[in-house]
Amino acid sequence: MASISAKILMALSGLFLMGFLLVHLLGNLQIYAGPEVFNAYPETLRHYPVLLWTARVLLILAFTLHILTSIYLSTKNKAARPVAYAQKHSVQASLASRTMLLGGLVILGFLLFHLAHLTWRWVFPEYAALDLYTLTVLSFQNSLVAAFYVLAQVFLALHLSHGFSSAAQTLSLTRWCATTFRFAGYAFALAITLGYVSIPVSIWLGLVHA
Amino acid sequence: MSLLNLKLRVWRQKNGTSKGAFVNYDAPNISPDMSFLEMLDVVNEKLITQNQEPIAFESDCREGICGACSMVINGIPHGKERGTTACQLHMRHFKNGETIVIEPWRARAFPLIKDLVVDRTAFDRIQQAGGFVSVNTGSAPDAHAILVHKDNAEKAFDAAACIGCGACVAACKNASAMLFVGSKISQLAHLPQGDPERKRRAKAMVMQMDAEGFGSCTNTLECEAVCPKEISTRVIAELNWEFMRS
Ligand code: HEM
Ligand code: FES
Repeated sequence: MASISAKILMALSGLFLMGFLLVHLLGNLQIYAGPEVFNAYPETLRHYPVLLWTARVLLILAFTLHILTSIYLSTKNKAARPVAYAQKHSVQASLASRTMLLGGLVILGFLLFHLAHLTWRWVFPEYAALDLYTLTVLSFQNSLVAAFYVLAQVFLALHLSHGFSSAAQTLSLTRWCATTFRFAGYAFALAITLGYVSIPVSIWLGLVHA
Repeated sequence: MSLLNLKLRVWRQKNGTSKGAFVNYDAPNISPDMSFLEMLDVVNEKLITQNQEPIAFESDCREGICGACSMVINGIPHGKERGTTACQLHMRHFKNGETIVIEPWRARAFPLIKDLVVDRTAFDRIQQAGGFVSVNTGSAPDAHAILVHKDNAEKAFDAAACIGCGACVAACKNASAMLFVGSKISQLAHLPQGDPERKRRAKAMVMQMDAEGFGSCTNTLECEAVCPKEISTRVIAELNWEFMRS
């Protein structure tokens, strides 16, 4: 496959995942509306099995495509410079742009933990029978879990802050103005991250309680 | 300004198959008005009088237009002055007593020939794959026979400033040639002469670029920072567009 074709697939799947992140965040923020509303949200989803499973299948496909293209391209990129420089300085490459693979791997690790935690409920077997609201609140009172969630979101923020403008460049939207997309990417990454981080933080601080 | 006494750490390698290493040299009494290549000439003259092998490096025009002089100076292709080739880099930008590290371009697609000289014919093969306009040559047409909008002329001209030096590949963490290929594509994409073959051109040049073993672009923008002609990564967006259309 041509490298640019792989990049286009990576950009499209990445943008799809960004759309999911936004929708998922809107769902999660309902925790501030209290247990009734928050617990009703997954219940509602379960009433639309076709919709739920279409979304799940699309998500799994997008993740698979994104990860496969990232492996394909990263391997080739590493092979393109077999002998490293003894001394090399970056003039303007951002930290985010240089740590996309690392960030992606952290996100993947986090995702598996997150599913095990709140979807499959393996992490705290003693809370497994509780409702989602109580499970969420009790687990984020654990500092270690809250800290891990926050740390993962920092990596997500980096990945998104570069991924947004990078995808715009790959899809050639930046032909007219690259700066707009760069700042839109920073704004999107910041908004998403603050939204997600606020949940474990406000629970840990006791602002949201069982 | 007084003369400079410098120390050099230069990559020496006999040929593509032997093992290379850094060798230290003294470069005393260097005039700040010299170019970087003239400084290397002085060091080489001394090496020759001592019956040692001079440092191999490429140069031709020595005025920033041919793209032959290729070396990574203190970790940055062509050194840290923006928009400057190594031959146009003046020694006044260095401090007395400084140690300067000099390395060749490092990329699989640019195999090393000797010391600082690498084989950049991969670029020629990409050009030959489609970076041209097929016309029957005859007498030159009148300059106003085909009208070109000012904006397009400017964009084509910006891209045509590329001298094919390979600094973009050298700077990229993926050794990607997208800025080079983007320049060649953009230069023709904005002109009516380039239009009939645009699809075939984009596809063929990208295929050749991949086949040569260059990496892909991850948009770190490092290439445009070191480009001696300061070509913008907009040409990469244009290359992506031309490839999508093809
Ligand atoms: C919610 C999750 C994720 C989102 C929203 C996301 C989004 C994006 C976007 C938009 C891009 C830019 C595409 C481009 O360069 O054109 C990107 C690049 C990338 N992603 Fe992800 N990604 C996610 C998860 C992952 C995961 C799990 C990996 C695992 C390996 C990963 C690895 C990469 C790599 C290696 C790149 C290329 C970096 C580069 O171009 O420098 N991503 N991502
Ligand atoms: S020698 Fe021609 S550009 Fe430097």
